[in-house]
Amino acid sequence: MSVLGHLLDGFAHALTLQNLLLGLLGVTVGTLVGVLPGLGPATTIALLLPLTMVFDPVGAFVMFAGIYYGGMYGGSTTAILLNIPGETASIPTTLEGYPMARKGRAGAALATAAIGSFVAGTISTVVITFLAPGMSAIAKSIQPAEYFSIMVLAFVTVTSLMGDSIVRGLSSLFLGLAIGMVGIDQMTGQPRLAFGVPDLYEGLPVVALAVGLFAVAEAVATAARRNLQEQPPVKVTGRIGMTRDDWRRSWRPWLRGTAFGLPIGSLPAGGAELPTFLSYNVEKRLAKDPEEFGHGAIEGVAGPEAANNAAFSGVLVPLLTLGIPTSATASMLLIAFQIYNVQPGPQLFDQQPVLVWTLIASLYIGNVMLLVLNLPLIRLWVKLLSVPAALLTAAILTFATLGVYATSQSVFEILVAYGFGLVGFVLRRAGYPVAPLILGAVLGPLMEVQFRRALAFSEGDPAVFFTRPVSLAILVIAAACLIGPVVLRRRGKISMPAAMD
Amino acid sequence: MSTRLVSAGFLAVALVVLAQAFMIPDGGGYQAVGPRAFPLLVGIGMGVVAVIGVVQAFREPATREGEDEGVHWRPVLLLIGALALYAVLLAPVGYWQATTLFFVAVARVLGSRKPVRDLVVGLLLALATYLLFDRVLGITLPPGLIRLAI
Repeated sequence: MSVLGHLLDGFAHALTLQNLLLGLLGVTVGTLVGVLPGLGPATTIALLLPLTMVFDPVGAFVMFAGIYYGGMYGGSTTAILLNIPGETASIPTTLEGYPMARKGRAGAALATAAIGSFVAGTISTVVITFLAPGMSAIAKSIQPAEYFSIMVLAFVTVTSLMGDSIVRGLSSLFLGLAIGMVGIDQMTGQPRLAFGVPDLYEGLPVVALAVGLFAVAEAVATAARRNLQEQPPVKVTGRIGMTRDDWRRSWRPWLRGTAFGLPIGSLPAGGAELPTFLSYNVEKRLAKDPEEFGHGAIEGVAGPEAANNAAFSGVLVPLLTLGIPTSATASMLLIAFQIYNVQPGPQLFDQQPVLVWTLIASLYIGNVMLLVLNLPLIRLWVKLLSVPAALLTAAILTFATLGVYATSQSVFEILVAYGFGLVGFVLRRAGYPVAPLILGAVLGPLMEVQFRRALAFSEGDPAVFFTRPVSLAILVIAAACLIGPVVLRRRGKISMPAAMD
Repeated sequence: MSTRLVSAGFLAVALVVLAQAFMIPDGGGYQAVGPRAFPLLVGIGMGVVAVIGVVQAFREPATREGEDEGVHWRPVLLLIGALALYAVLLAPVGYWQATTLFFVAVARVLGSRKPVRDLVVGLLLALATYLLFDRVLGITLPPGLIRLAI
């Protein structure tokens, strides 16, 4: 079947009444949770993961597509109205969106974010519809040594782009890799890092890990804050929409943002941080009046928001075709796939065509739903921001616990989630990013499989990673990505975006 | 939070991983690579990064620039206590009962001074999620001592 045939088939599945309702539910709940301060898309998915488990896989992934977009849009709302970025990629939005909101232009900022996300999301989805099957065909020919090297590259780029210290990022990554090894070795049955605890033989539960690191850690951070009386959100006054002048100033940044976000996101490396910062800087440079930047320039919201959304869609390419997540949110999606015993990778398009194509079709639908739902309902979402922090935090902890318990029926997993909540809190306070940790824990086991396969082919010769030219080239790029920023920072050539949280 | 303390923690974890990796028997038999190689690689990598991390942390000033040192430990410790109790009491006391109490306690720890409101919100939330999951979605939650008639 051709790509279009598959896509139509996907739409036929996604457009059933049940799946449409699930998509609607996903977008709504995703926005609802995403709009809460401090809860980015990864946290949103972690919290809502258990809710999807009662549906069949196709229905659940339709819902996921909705949660994915809804969580992201909710995040940009908090960035604009509260000056709180839910994730690193939302920082540029706070730089211009919040000043806009304070000038009484919240409506325009929210609108350019929503419409820009829609434009970028739709273009990106069209591109990945045609790109992903081709990538999948290429991915099938990748040998274990190269696969291992690509994963190294993904780890290095994600780590060196997050946070202000590569050493702290790598520490976090290695901790994740170690966590991923806990339990019985799949190939030999040998327990590793289990310390004789039977509960650990099946490995540390990743759902509990993610819920702890994201949701519980956020709640602990709220408890530790000096002053709970935070500044109230900026009132949304006037019309939600853009003037003719806003449109004129927004459409080019949307397209440029998409042009940054989509290709970088589609690489098994980037993630969403780089394109959004890149887009922000380019818009600033191209602006007629660069002085306006920092005081509410609409281009600074339009570009990064489009880049963010395009990168989010692009990230699905390495996730679906290689099984490699390149952001915390993509790691959550990989966990979701694994819960349904679906392993993304080169075989996915052959083995699960209905699932993949329904998911892709849902991305188109989710995008439309988001636009139709969010612009009119934005005032309703904003009301959520006036719920007292004490009640919100109590509710988040309740749902986090319920989610872990519902998926496992195990008090041990609840304790794992709480434990990693504290770990996540301590790490963030000390300036360690947690995204590499979750990435390492999720991707580590898959990486070991490729590592051992490659060494099995080479009969145990570790030089295999360096003697195969493609593998060597990828590793050289990875080394450059690791060392390059360090050298450049030493020389003061680039200043990385200011502190992450 | 001291970056020095945390960097030392990473070093300790790295040493544990390395020690554990060395203890893994590697008699893979016919396999070229046994279960030990990857843990060793990770342990060594983590050790190297952790040592650099410790050196960096002790070279930097003790507190990072712009860092808000004010962690309020009292609410954090109380929250940890509430979490531990909740995990332990969930099964014997019952889902919605324990959740209601937990909700009120957490809200209190976080500075809420309206216990009646918290109790009402907590009870409604607990009952709603209990009925949704247990009765509608078919995911069994502990019923506890007081059983609901519906």
